[in-house]
Amino acid sequence: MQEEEKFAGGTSALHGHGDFRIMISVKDLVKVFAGARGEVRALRGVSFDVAKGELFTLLGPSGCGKTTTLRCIAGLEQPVAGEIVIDDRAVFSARGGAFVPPEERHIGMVFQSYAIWPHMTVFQNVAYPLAGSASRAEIRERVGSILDRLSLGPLADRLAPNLSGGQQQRVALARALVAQPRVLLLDEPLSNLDAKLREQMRFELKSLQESFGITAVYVTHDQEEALALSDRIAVMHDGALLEVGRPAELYARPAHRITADFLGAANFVPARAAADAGAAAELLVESALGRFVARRSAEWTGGEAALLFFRPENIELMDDRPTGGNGGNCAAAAVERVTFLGAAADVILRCGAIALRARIHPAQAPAAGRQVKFRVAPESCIVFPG
Amino acid sequence: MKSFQHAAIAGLLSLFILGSANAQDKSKSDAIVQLYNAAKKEGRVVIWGPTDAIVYERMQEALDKQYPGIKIEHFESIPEPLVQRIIAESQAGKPAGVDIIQSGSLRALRPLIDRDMLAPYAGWEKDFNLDAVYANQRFVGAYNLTLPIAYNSKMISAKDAPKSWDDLTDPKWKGKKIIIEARLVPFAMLGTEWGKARATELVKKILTQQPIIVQGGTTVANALAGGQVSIAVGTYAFTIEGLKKQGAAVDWVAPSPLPVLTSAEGVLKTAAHPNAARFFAGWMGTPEGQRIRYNARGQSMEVGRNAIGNVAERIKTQQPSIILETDKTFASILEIQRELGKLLGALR
Amino acid sequence: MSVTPSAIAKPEIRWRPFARRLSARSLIFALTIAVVSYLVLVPLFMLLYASVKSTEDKLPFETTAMTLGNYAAVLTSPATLPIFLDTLIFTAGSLAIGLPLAILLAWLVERTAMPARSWIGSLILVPMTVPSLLSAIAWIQLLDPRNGWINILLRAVLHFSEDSGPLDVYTLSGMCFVQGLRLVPSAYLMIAASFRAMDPSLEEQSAMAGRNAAQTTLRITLPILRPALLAALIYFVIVVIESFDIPGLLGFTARIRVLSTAIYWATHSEVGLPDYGLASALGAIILGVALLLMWGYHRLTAHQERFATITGKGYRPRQIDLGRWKMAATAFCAAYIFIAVLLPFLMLLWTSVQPFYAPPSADSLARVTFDGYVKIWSDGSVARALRNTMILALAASVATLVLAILVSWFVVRRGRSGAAAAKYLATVSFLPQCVPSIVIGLAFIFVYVRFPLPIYGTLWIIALAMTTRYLAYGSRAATAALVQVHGELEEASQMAGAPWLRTLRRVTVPLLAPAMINVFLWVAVHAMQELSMALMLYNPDTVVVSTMIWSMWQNGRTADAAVLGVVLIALSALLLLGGQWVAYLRRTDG
Repeated sequence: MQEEEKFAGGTSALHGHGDFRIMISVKDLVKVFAGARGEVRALRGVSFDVAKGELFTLLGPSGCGKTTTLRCIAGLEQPVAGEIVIDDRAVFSARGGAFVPPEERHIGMVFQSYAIWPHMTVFQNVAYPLAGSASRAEIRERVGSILDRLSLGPLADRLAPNLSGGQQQRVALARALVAQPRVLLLDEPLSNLDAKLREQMRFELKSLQESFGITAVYVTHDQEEALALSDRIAVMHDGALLEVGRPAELYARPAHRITADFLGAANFVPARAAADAGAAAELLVESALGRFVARRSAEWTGGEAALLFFRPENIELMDDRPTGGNGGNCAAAAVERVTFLGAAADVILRCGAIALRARIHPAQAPAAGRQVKFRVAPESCIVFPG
Repeated sequence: MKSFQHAAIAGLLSLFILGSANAQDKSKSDAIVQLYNAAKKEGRVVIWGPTDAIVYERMQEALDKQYPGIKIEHFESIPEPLVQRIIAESQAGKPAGVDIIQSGSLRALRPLIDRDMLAPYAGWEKDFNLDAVYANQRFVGAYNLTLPIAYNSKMISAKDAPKSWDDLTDPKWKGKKIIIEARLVPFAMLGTEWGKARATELVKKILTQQPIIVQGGTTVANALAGGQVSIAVGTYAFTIEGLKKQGAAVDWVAPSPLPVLTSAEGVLKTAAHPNAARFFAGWMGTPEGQRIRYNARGQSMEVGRNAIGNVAERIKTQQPSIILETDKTFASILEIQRELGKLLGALR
Repeated sequence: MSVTPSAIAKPEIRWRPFARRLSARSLIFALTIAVVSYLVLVPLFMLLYASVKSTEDKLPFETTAMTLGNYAAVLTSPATLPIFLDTLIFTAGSLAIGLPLAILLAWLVERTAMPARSWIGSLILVPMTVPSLLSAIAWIQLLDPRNGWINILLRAVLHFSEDSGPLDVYTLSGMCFVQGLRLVPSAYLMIAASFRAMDPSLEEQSAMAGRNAAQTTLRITLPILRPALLAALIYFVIVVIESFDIPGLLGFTARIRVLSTAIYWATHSEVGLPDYGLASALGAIILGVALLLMWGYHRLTAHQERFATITGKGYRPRQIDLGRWKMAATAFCAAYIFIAVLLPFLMLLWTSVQPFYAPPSADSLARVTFDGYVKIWSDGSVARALRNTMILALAASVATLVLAILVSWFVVRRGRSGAAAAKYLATVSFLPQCVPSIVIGLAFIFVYVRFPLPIYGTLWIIALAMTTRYLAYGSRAATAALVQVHGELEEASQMAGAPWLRTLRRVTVPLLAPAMINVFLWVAVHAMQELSMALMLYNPDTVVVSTMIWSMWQNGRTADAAVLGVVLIALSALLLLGGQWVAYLRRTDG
């Protein structure tokens, strides 16, 4: 149970796959690059485990080390310290002096640029990983079946550059999957597609991954994508792993301010910690909006300076009833701007010097210029160090 | 009665003279025949040098008729790399498989003389009766290369052509009317007689005439024949004669002094066929060998006892003073040429 | 589903020692470094060694005394400073003319829809095939201020009244012009391949941002081609410094003395032995310049992922429509081809049917004879020389190509070998360009006369010497080409399970093919007419066409030399056209 609990989510995260196993284990990876102005520490001791069958996402802004981590797993980069074990096989260990080259790791990889070979046809591209390991007939069959699975059948003889972006991406996927690897690595595979296609491919990818039962490590900087696809997300920042968790948890209860900021729209209000208010997890803060009760974040270590955080969709507009605080977490604000987004209204509330973003159902959107009162439930507020 | 006695004495005397002459000739030709027999036993001779293949082909034909049994193997190349290879190879203990090394001018073979790699042979002078023998009988002359002043006869008449070296400084030749071969060999040779200072002065003055200067005698000759320039210096007389024969409007004058280069052959001490080498080198110097070379290529000895050909004729008629390249003048030609080279970009 | 801790097996860690595994890649890496180092260090050693020997009338290995006298002579001679200044100006001027012209032509042929561009692309290369020996007389006849054809033409067209000019080629600017023109074929070859392999999306973005073709080219295309352009620049700087063709043809008359002139005097003055010491000291200076340039190159082309243009996303760049500039562009190229290609060739052709050179006139027309061609046809020695030349060209091309590909891979991809090894290989493969050919020849004589390998006196020693020299060009071209191939294309092959050699064979080499064809052709064409090293190293049975032409020329047989030259040019041109055609085919269906 401990192992599973470490995965912070129990079995539901594994979508009912029979046995629970750790497929990929990454420990204390350190990677250093020689940069233009001296050494760059790209990875500073990254550790995480990926369970069999899960879609594990590395999420973060560019330069955070997520692609480097992925490439270390692939074997395209060699860290200077740490250990990587894939499917019970140590493919890298600094201490033991082990390094398995990428061509021997039996991992499928989809590159950001797709890396489809322009001088080969779709068929040749996808058949490439099978070269030498199967008969002609078998190759034809396997390639044919995966091309069909990805709706690429009629394109089999077309030369790679004559495909659209979406088609190329699917070819890259087919190529990565045809040799039935245990692990699939994806480096921002959807970032070069247009928005509509991206959404489409998102679900396609997920369903493929599930039906093949393949363990996937996915790298992206797009939080929406990460939230939609992942079984678990690892948020990375500046070469370190900040936190790992299931999407819903990370979104609602981030342990770090950076996670909070990255995973969705966020409101941060400067505040001062007052006193412990009741339950151990809760804290009372004095903010520019007034007194708010909020949960402690894991990052919170005490001290005075604090940041109060809550998401736009958790701002509830109250009726203009002059009833006083019902447990605090209320404030008054002026409506500065209302932007109609279709499914919701994006409302900018101004509270003195502070601008807050709120997401309101269009039917309840106030008019610009009005004064409103709002509250945020304490469960939805989190305090981070300031 | 007295007339009979006179006649008899005259007859006897002439017989005696003839006889002894014959005897001398005979002893000479005996020596040659002996050499030939030794050469025939060796069967071949390997000669490296700039001479054209066609010359050797003709020579082989003639040799086969008169002195059969010797095969000529030739390697046509400019002598400089050959000399270096011979030195390098012998230094490595692997003597080159060459018997005769020939050069276009004597100076090129100097390194071999310095390293004492050539075998002397007195028979060239003694038996073959050749006068172009140098460096203590180590070299025998093959042909001469006369360096005259050549001119385009369509552009200037024989009357107007420069007659002396100093004439080249006449202002009427200013402005790309003269072409000079870049290595300035004729002037270097002039320097051996005039002294370095005077030769350098002359060159400097000529350089103010804005001449065209290129490297390569053939380019020079062709520029003249093509009417690019009126006067050419640094091309050989035999080249001009050859062009004339083909119809080009070129001619040459023999200024005084007239520089004459010597192309010579030397036999290497490590020659595998020494007798064939000596024989062949000597034979090439005889009037017969000369004639074959001249007919095939237009080159021959142009000064000295065995001189033949148009160039030799003109030299004999005009009688300019000759500056001949010999082993005695090596060093000074070299030194002056180096100095002159500095005018055109040499560093040392 | 609950799982108890004990039911979870601790993952077994199977160790796999890695460092000392002998993979094909590390083996070939070691071999490449060894072979290239060997090839380069032999002449390099001779250069440095000879430069500290006193070699007046001695060969470098004949004396044991060391001396700095050669360097002292260079430093103290009053001619040195003017020589260096003239060399600087000459080099800068030639490159300023030749490189932009080559870039422009490469751009027009490869990236625009200019009419007749495939023909033009092939014809541009033809001047490479003309032995420089023979082009001398052609250029004199063309460019002489008074009688040269080009000047006569220009005077007529521009209505000049003087009888001289307008182009006086016997000046520094004239020299720059002619030398610049001479650079164009090689530079074009190097650069055209890079233009061909551009990622269209890079330029499309610029076009969508509203910039026209010229702006896009200047701001997007050229900067991304920086490694290729810099490689070309550095290579040709050394080539111009080191080559003596134009200074020998025009420099003496113009009284311009450059570094190669000084080297020429040290090595070819026909006063006995070459002064190898002085020549080597001068060569060592060129070496220093080259090292400096390579250092600059490495600084400017670090982080070469930025320069990748073949990514697999798009491959064939679009052809820019020139609109109303179309005809002007073609006319411009045609003019270039007429001046640089056709005229000299016609002069040579004319020379080959004349007993001696004379401008066309009633007289000379009467002298036209095709005897030379008839003679050549039946001359056995010519056939043999041609055969030798072909073998030599093939051997040198293949060897250079293989080495160039390997060197470029290890330089560009680095891998675990690290930046130091990459820089070493890149620099070392370039250095032989700085060593005068005659010094390379001497080095080879010296080493191989003793060496157990029995190549001395055969074609193979000449091939080896040529490979050493041509590796500089080959590795520059291959490196520039490989930089354009995105590393991910090879990584994808690795991830697909292909070992290193298979990746090389099925992914890298096919993508490099256009550039490789160019390298092959370039080396073949140059090997066919290379003279200096052949003269040092050949034997009666390894006579090649270039030495034959040389002998004929020296012996005054101008017509015969010209005939053989024409035959050589025809063969080389056929080779070039064949290669371009192959490249064209590949382009249209792949």
